[in-house]
Amino acid sequence: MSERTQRLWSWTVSGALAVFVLIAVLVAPDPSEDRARSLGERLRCPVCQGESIAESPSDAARDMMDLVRSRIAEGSTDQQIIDELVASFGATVLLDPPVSGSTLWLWLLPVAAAAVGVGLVLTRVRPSLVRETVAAPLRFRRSTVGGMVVLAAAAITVVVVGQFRQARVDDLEPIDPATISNETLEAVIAANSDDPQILGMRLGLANRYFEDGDYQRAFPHYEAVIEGNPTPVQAGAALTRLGWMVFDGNGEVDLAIDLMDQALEAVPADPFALYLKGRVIWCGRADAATAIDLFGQVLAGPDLEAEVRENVEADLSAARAGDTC
Amino acid sequence: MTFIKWLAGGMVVLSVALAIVFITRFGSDPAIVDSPLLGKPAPTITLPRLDGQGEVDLTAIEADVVVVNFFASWCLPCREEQPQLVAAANAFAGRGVRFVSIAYRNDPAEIAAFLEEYGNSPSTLYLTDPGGRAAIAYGVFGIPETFFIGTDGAVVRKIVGAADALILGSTIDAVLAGEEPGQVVVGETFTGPGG
Amino acid sequence: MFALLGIAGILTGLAGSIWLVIAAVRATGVGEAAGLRRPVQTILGGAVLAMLALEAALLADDFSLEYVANHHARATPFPFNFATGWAALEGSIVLWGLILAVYTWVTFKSVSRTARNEGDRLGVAALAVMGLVAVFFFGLQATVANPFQVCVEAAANGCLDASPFPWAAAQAPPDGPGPNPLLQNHILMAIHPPMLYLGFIGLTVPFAYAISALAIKEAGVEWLRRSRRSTLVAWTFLTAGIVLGAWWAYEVLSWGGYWGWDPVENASLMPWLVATAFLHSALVQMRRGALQAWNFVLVIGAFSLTILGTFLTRSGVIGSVHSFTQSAIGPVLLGFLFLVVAGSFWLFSTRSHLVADSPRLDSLVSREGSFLLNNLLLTIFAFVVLTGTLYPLVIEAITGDRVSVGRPFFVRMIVPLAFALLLAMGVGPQTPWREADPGRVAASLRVPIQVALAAGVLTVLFASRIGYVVGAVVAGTFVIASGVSLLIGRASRAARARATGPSGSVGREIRRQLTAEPSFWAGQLSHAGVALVAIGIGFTANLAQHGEVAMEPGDHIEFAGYNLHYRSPFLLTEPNRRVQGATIEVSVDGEVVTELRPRANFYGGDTAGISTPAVHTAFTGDLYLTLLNIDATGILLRMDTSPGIWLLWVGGLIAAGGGAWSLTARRRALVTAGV
Repeated sequence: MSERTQRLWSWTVSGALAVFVLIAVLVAPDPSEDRARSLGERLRCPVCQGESIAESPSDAARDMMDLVRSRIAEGSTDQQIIDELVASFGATVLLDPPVSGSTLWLWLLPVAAAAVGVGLVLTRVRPSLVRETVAAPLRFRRSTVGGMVVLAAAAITVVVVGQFRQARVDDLEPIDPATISNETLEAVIAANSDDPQILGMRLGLANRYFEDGDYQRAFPHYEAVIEGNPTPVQAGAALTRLGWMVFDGNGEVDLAIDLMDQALEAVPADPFALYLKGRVIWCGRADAATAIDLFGQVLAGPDLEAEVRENVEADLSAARAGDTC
Repeated sequence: MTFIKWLAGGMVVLSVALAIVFITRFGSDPAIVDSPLLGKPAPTITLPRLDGQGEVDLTAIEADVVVVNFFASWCLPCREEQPQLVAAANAFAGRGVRFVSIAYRNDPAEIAAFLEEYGNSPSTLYLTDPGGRAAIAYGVFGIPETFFIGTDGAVVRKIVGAADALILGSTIDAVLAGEEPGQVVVGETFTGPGG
Repeated sequence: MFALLGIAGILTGLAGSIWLVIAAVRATGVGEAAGLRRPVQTILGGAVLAMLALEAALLADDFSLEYVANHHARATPFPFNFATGWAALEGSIVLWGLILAVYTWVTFKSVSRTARNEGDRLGVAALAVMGLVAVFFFGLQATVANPFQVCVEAAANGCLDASPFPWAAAQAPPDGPGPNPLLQNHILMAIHPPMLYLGFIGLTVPFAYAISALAIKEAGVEWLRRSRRSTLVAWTFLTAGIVLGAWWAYEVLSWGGYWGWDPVENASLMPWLVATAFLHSALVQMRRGALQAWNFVLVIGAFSLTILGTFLTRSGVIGSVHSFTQSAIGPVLLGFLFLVVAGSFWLFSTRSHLVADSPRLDSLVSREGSFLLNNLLLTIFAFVVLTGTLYPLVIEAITGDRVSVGRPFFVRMIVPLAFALLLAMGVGPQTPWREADPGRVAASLRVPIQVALAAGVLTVLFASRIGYVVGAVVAGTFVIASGVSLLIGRASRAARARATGPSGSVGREIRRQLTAEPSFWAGQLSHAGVALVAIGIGFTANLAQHGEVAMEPGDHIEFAGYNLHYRSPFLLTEPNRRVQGATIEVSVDGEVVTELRPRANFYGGDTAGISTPAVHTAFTGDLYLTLLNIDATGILLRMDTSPGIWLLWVGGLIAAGGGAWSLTARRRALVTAGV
């Protein structure tokens, strides 16, 4: 057999084998595809680092595969199942990023790079006119300047575009105490009732209730303050108001005066305690003289708020005038 | 030759850009993701009660604010969070706020023991999540995570990690006041027993 | 005491590095290496001292060191307590410094030999570059990655606060948490990192020579020739390290796979790809002087990717199963990375006239052309991996969106590249230099093509008709057949030329061919290894079977031709862990083949175990069993098959072996050439 015939024969054999293989592959029945598994391999296990829910042995992954299987049994399409999971977890659950939106460039970049690479290779082989034409206007100096311009542009672009990204809401904004609701304070106090530092918060909450006239809610907190080893100032504030509540709410005069005396022991000459004591004595015992004396002490003492001063002065003149309270 | 200068220039530009990208990432945890549920209606899902007395549809709860917390007995921060949740649930009970605690991957006996030890609130609904469907629907990455659903049924806030009473309370206040949706990260989350 | 010794070692290494840089820069004018001996020895001495101090502290359970307190436990068995020396961030930098010191010393020996004869400016400048890299890594150890910090606030189990001053008042906790349980499961974990480091750090040498060549304006083939051995050493270790890492992942992690496209895995693959391209491309320059610019770019790229990989692993910017915890080292590594990339490319651009008269290729249809194609394919491959790895980061920085890029992306992009590479691997070696006659090349490929197609036919008939599987077998067989037919062809032609008669002499002629051009045939062996890996990947990716079953003791199940019989559970108590598992009897056709014991390991106080799979290896593939759950009621067992996976390990190690053979051969060649 001549060289040429041998060669021809050889290529024919190769050709026949190739055709056989190709046909066999093309007409092969689709392997019994586990649709759930194929879909699962495109979905990321949220509690693992990059494993798919099909591969990961973790419980969370297996629960999700279970969900995928039941959705498939219910007749959902692959895209519907993906959309459902993306709605819950976000785009990060997709291991197979879509060729659109944010991930469009992911798919385009390698293809573009390949095209550029092939182009470059071709230009390296042929000392072609094309290359000369392109190279000519690019002198050294221009390319350095050009490079720096590109550098600056890139930096500016990144910074500017960065401004448009969604603001992350991770940072805890400082909480303004005045905006904290009563319920929140109740919750914090209940959760930290063992903490001795919580007394200040209790007192603050109780004062709020007191000012709102909600004696029922204020009462247990004032009690807790007094029983909880308070500072003299805290004790004074609590006792004063307790005294008033006892008088105003239950009509008990002697107990009220007793509590206020205790408050004055804790913080001597406390204007608020003196004032309220005065009112109790004036209103409860109809003893205007002692009341006038107390009111006088209040006005003579250290600075008062304008509103409080007005009230005290009004009560003083009313008592002097012999009015009932 | 000038092609090389372009290549070199390009590499420098690229490395500057990448350096800027990396710098923005320093200090932040790559694992924390913003919930896509913020501002969207809460998932409709029905779960069985822990005490076995029927099922609860999370979207059918009548309340101004529904607080959905995912926890488990094996989750260490959840132990610290539980008393805070109880306190907040009790404090806000009169304000039309309902707490729902969903046990994630937990044995009922272990859940009961956990609630026994760390406290529970009479106004809170304790539910189990068979098959983890609720956790998937809410996009739970780890526990504890807490979701706040407003009056219109939308998920308004999310807290990742163990919250204390102050954060829980001020978040509820914010939801009641109708403030913007948002997510806060206050601690680390666990994905399974043993971390 | 160990802290003092360790810090002394680090400072000695740092001082030596600075000394080396200064001395080498000074000596570059003349090219005299004698004055560099002491600095290099100092670096080596310091590095050895630091490593020894760290290991001694670990073996002696010295918990007053913060590194030991937070990463070591008394109960950790040997050799894992030894491996803790590089298991955590600071220790890994110490190992890096040691390996770098060794490479520097070896480079010095070669430089001083050359310098003695005629002065070696290239080598001396290269040592200066290596010194600069060493300054950085020892500087890291002395500042942000200091493993010899003394624990000043101890907890019951570990250290809460540390001080860098070795004389600080030390508090030693009674014990530590020990290394991550996953790092104690298998001996491969002790070997895999050092292998990888030997690979990564080895790439410093060709990089140094390249920078040196550019700096002293001696771009020619000299820098390639001088760094060839180191490049081969680095490549061999890197190949072995990656294969071992994949093998470990398969044996230990229970998800049944070996490569997860995890960012840190990718970080080791990218330098490997570019280093492989460089290894090939360098041949073209050494033989024909072409592709000079390519070679500079490739070697700078390989080294830069090594540093990028180090940065990604240690900075915490990308979440990964591999990453060390975030620390201050991130910004420092980023700065160094930027310096390396920007500095090298800037230097290259200013010296670009040196490569301007690089000869053009005569034709693309030639050996040079196939190497150029190889460069292109491998570079695009590396670019795809880089894009996939960094894309989520970049997108998040720009738009704030969170995306994931996983296996589906990489596979879709890489499969066509891989097939193209296999084709090139088969055709390239048969293509002559300069300009090839396509007809003659086709003629020489006739037999390999036939053999490959025959293998395809066999696959279709007996194994599978899935396109990827058949394609992988055909392509892989083509590569191997091409190499074998080349060898036999040359040998028989030579035998005929010597007119010595029948085939017995062809055998002798084959041996003669192998010893005459060992590095070429070593390369062919590596190609064959890669081909086997490709075939293995084709099988495992497409023909694996999966199943999940709940079993009680005594149950049987049929799976993938095996009969699995759950006999009983078992419980073991070891010093550092509690092991719960199941004993499963595996039979084929009624005959018991093996007993597999998949288990869950419980370390410390963990309530959830780390499961270890049980693997039965057979010629057709592995049977892989994992325990998903074990309790009083029974077990939940996951079953997978990995057909032909041994091809991956064997093929990978053969590929590395080719590199090793090439190294041994070169010494003989050098010796016989009287150099």
